[in-house]
Amino acid sequence: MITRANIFPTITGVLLLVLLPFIFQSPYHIQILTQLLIWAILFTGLDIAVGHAGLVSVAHGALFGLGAYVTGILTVDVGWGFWSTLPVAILVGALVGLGIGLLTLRMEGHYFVIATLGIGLLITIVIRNWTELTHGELGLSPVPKPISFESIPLNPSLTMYYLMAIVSFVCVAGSYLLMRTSTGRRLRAIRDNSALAAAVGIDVSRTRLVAFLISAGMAALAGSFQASYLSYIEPSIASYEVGFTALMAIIIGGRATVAGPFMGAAIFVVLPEILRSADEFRIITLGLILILVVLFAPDGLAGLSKIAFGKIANLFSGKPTNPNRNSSNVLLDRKDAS
Amino acid sequence: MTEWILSTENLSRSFGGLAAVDQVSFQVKKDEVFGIVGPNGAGKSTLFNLIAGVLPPSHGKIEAFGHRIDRMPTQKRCWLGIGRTFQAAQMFPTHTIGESLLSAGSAKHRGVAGWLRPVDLKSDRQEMLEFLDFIGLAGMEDLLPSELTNLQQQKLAIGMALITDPQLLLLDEPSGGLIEAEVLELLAFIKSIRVRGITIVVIDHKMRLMMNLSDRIMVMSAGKMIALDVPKKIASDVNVQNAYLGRPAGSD
Repeated sequence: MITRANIFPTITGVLLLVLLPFIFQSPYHIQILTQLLIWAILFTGLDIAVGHAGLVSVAHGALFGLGAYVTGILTVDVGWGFWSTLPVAILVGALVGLGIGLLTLRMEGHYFVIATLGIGLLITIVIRNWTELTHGELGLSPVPKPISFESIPLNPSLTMYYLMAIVSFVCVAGSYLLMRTSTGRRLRAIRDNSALAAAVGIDVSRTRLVAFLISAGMAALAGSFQASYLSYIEPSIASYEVGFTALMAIIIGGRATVAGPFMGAAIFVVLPEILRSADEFRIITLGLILILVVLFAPDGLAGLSKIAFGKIANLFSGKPTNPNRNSSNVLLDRKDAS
Repeated sequence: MTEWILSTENLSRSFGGLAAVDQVSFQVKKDEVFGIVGPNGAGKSTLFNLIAGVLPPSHGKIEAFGHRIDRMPTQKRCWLGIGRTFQAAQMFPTHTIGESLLSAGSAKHRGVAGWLRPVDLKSDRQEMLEFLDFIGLAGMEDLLPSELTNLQQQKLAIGMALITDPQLLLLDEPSGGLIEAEVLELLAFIKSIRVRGITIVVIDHKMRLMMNLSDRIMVMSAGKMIALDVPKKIASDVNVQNAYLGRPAGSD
């Protein structure tokens, strides 16, 4: 599974994950980095649906919140430990994803987006109003941490950071390896031309459903860790804004790439912190970045950096670049996005 | 003894009040090339879509390899051994030629093992290269479909259908958009598929191609089958000449 093509990016990624806390040492920065990793898990999950399966879902904010609430309710009200709630959260997320998939996957394009928006809102409304279960606006706390910090000699925020580094690495590797199987190949074929895919024997609905289910499970997993990270959750964790943010993040970061979700997460975690003093400019700035990326880098930041790295690599190896191939891909991707 | 591979019985499909395909019954023999011709609007494409699984019939039935297939989803018809091409050659636009063939072959392995089959298996790549060679595109595996000529795209489309290991191949207007010299090359290519023991049903409006290629030809007009015979007899059939050709057959 480790090949010459992916060994270098893998090592770079792992080194970054390990070394970042040494560069940004304050607990405040480490907490921001931890939040970044949790978002990156959500975005990686969403990217399986959006980037790989071509299913533009807005419901993933609600699925994320659902995972958070499963963990929140089971730990705070039922008294379970964090780790026993995790599989339940993933399962509930995947099952709701399956339900959403069965209801909506026959719809094409815009109809699918609207349907996921509707279902997402429905989940949010249920969470907000089923107060016996979710405590409504009062929220739930304290959601316990995954690790008892007394047993580990690191400081708590650093421990949580490294735990999330491992979990996000496992999720990314899982998603990457899934795309290196026939399932990934079929998803790409469906995204390119679903009629042709069906004609060569690919079960279009079932393949999409599997992708959506895995994607939903991963969103719920991220939500579960988010609940523990925040230790206090309230209904806005499941809001449609989370769904839209996630969608924007992977478009800006770059769809169907490994680095894209992380780059998107970096933008959406770091930028608000930088612009903290000027909150009203936050949305405008993010909107502006989104427009610029869609116009000038339809493959997202990951696509841009790939082109840049390619050019640098070619400078050193003396190989001519192939501008033709790059431009045709960009054009096709635009068509794909419309 | 003759073995039927595909048969239809009173197959009909109407759109609103219009019967696009009207009570069509025919049988395709194993190992033959079965041509379907007819003027525009005769119902050829609708008939093709009924067999390929794009449309459900209004009445009648379709059987292939002993199974009722008229309500079967498209991918299951493929699993049964029916490969098809589309009227305008359909491609995977962001796949290279090599990837296109690999993707087309990816559904052959079913079950959980099929879902989790790694993409970089040497045997799959070997198979892809063999098909690439067979369709005459050897050495072009890294090109995109948009970089191919119409004929090469048509061959790739047929290659993608063939890599699914069909026993019956449905070709929808394979000569569409081709110039005369290319049609001759296509003809030779389709004949080379026959040699692999694959039964072929082909729809096309280029009469010379169809006369040369087909063992039997079915002529459609206004949704109905008006003749079904060997090419020689079709050419001299008065009904056919009146309804469709309007001039001596073979003049194209």
